[in-house]
Amino acid sequence: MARRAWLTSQLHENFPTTEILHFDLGNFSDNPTEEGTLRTEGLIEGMNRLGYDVANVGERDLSLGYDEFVRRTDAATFPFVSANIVRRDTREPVFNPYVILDVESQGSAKPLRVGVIGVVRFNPVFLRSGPDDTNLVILPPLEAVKRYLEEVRERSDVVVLLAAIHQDDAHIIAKEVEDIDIILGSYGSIYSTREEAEGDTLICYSGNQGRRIGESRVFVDSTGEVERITSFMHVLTARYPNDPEMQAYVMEVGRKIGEHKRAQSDSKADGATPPAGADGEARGAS
Amino acid sequence: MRAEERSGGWAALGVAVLVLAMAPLASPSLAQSGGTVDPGTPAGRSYVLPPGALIAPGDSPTITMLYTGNVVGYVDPCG
Repeated sequence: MARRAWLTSQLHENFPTTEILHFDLGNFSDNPTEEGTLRTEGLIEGMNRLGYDVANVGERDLSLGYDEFVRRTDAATFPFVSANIVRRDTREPVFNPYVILDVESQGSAKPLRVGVIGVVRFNPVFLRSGPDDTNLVILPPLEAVKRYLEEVRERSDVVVLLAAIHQDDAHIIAKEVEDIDIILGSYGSIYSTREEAEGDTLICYSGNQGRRIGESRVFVDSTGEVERITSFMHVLTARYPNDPEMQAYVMEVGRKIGEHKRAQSDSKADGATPPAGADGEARGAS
Repeated sequence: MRAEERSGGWAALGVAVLVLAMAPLASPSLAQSGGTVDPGTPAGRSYVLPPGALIAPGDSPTITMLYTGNVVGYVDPCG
């Protein structure tokens, strides 16, 4: 995260008039344990500090259900999107299916409108507790994209799909629908080694565990049309310096987790039983 | 033995001549790609940063998007 912060600051320095948008493509959460929750909360605060703009919701993020997700992400200063995580009763999304970001752009009087839709892979057996005593299910991502794409396109200059889906599914979506400028994908550890495209839609995968970060530079012409997009993949090895401020924050999170581990270890030594974790199983499910 | 050595020597010389003969054909594509990108990747649409560079040079884009996925709680040390 400290290297991500350094990269962001360098891009600001090199291209001072260019706005930077940060996206998370889903499945940012750690395991649903006490220690994992500390990491997830630490990550959310780090994303706030980095200036994340939108995060897609993945299956993993809902492993303890909707209420627990809301609790763990309460401190987030950025919105969450998902077009295909829906209530089972109404089939309506529980998160914003998309957001439109107004971005100040150089040389243009009016802001650039960036439409961001989120989808997660289809999982027919997914069932988690939702809001208001409902359950959540996942619809096929293509169905959800088709439902919202037209209105997003009408309201946007650039359309981005954040996709926690397999690469093959991303290609299918890009084949089936037009009007998505770029699909930013994440699935397991898949990352793109070269730019892929399906028709006019670019597809970029950025790997996992924050080891890589994708960078896509969008050039828009005077009419507001996307002229070209150029992408780079940064492998955040030790070649990338740490941003000192973010590094200090990361160390603070590490210290908190260390203290928690020591406390747990001490309580085990004393024979105490750790408190039971929250239960995110679907309501009414056996 | 000596004949084999001589034959091997001629073969090596032949390969060297072939490589030198093809060099002028190869160099334009390297020049077009700056010698840094994967062969076959259209220029300007590569993921590869210039050697030694952490930030690719170029014109100021209208916007830049940075993205991560499947971070699964990694705050440190994976980036």
